[in-house]
Amino acid sequence: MASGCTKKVDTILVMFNRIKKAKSLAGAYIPHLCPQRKYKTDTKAKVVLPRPLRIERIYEEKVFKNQTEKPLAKEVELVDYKPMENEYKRLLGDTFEDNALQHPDFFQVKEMVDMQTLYRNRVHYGHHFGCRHPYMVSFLYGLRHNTDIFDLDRTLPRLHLALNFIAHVVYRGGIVLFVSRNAQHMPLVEKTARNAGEYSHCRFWKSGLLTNIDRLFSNLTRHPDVVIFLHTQNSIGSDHIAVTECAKMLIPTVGVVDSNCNPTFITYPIPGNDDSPDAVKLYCKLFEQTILRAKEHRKRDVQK
Amino acid sequence: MAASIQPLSIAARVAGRKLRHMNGHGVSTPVIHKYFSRTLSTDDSVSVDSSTTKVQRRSEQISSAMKAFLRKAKEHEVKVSQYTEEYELGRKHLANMMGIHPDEMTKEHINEAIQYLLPSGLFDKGSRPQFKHPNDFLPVNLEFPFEESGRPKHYQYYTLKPHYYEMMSEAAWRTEYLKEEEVRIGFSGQQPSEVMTHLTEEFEWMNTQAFIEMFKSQFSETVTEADHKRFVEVMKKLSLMRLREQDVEFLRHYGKQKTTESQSLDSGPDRKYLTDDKGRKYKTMHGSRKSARARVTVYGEGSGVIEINGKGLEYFESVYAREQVLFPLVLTESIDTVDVEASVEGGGEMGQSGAIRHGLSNALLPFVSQQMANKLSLAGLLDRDSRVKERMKPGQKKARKKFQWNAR
Repeated sequence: MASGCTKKVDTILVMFNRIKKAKSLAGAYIPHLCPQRKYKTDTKAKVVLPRPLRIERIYEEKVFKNQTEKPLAKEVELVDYKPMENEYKRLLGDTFEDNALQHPDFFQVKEMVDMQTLYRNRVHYGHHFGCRHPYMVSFLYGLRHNTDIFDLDRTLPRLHLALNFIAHVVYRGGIVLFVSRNAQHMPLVEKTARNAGEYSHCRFWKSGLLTNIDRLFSNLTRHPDVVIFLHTQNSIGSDHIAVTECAKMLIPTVGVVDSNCNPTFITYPIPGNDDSPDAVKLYCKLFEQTILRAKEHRKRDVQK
Repeated sequence: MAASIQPLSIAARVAGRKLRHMNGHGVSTPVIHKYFSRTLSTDDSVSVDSSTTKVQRRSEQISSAMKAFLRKAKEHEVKVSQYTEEYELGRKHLANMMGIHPDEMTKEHINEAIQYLLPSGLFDKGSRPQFKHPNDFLPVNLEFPFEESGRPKHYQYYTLKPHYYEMMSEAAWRTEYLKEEEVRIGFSGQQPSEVMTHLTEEFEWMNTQAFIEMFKSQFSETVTEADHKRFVEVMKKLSLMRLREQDVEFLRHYGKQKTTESQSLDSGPDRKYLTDDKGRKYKTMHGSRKSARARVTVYGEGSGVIEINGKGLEYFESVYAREQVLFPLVLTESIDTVDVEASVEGGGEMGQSGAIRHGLSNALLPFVSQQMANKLSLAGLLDRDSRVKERMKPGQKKARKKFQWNAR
């Protein structure tokens, strides 16, 4: 061994031993530990290590540096909101007292999903690292066999947020629109919309549907109050027009964003897999469940 | 700056903006954009009338539109009930005059009666006097597509073609279910609980015209030819699978099954023969080829006699021409069972023989089974051969022959 390389080799060995102990990294691929190139000019063992990618540095920070395990995503707590009663009643139209916003989880959304179900339904699988969208890096845990893996510690609270939001909207009589342009899952999405008593649009989106609504429809129509994207992309691979239209009309959106998708204009992104049927079935089941639950609450409270 | 604050129309706002740029004037307006306030529950955006200073919320607009629609619907219903009462009364009187029981009276009776009682020479049939049920001439009253709160009734309302896409999605659900069933059955090896069969006969799907008219008349949805093409593809895909009874019924709404005997030839006038004074069955048809015109009569109960302009097959000198005349009889195996009488004018030998062949094959249809009739149509004997001598072109010797080509 060359004298100049002793330090590096020692650190590498130490790290390697730590990895063996860490269970979460079983089978993980850590490229910068494997020496890749050996040039002919390097007569002595001069190991040329590639510069690690940003995600692998995150990897490194978590595991290799002796940090205490912080919660990787803050548990979001809803702030207690006390609305002005007169204004609220005027806007709602319905006269029932609204206690829902006093609770952080009024509809008990957290018991519907947990980490195990997400893992079993393959929500953590992303696309090949070449397809990665730069804005999705913060949601990713790492690489495995050249595929991006989502950090489920970051998806789960966002999922809960989105479901809670949908429930609150439906509780107040809002219109939900399901949007997806994936032919494989179109029948399922339409079925969930029908069973939940809400609306779906999994077909050709005529531009101006929301921004130019009065021209396209013969009757005065209500805009949807939430738009849920099971697939934020077109059949071509570009962003769905509805995302920008909702942003223009200030309609809040919930969307499942894969590692190749753009999460910027979506108000409640759910970073996760949108390609495998197990994952899509899970999302549809959850959305349906929340909507029906919220409608039950609404029935009870409106009658009072 | 202007002191009075008044809501302006769009044109005035635009003019104000232009003035601001040009002259430096300011026009103070409460710029109430249509969608400035977004809330969760209701479309609480605001629109402004230039005529009145009234500010109306979108939710109120929706409810006022709904009220207008409901009022019109009630008026329409009243109209329909009045017209139906008059129609029924008149129908009974007509039946009494004609001496028929009103239940036995049909549309044909009514049409005949009115043509007799109120004759008109107008060309436009729509402007002639008619006697129809209001459902046939009044426009269809569509349901208001919203509920009280403004929510649409149809779950695919936002697609702009809800009923078309509902149909397509139903077909998609059925194909999915059947695919899964096949997999289940394949793995388990059991027989399916319901009776499932492949279709023996193919479906004939709706025309583009009929398809477009259906959606326009029933639902007032504009459907394109591309939509019809996709519809045919989807339904064809479904029809190739192993289907349940309910799936076959679903398909029958949108197409007919072709039976082994095509209905058009069976019931048409081509398949009917006439009878002589002597009681002989016969059929006369015209045939033509190039400039030859033939008139052929075929007698069903015969012994193979062929007469062409008073002569037999010897009328034609060449063997090829005689074969042309005999070919339909050979195909249908009816040389001995049928008599042929033909008169021909114009053309040459080949043209005359082709004309007789055309007329003969069309006249043979009543005396031949349906399968044979299909064979004749497949062979192209029932079609008029439209080939004519091609004209000569200037700059050439003949139709295709060019003048001699010289290098220099």
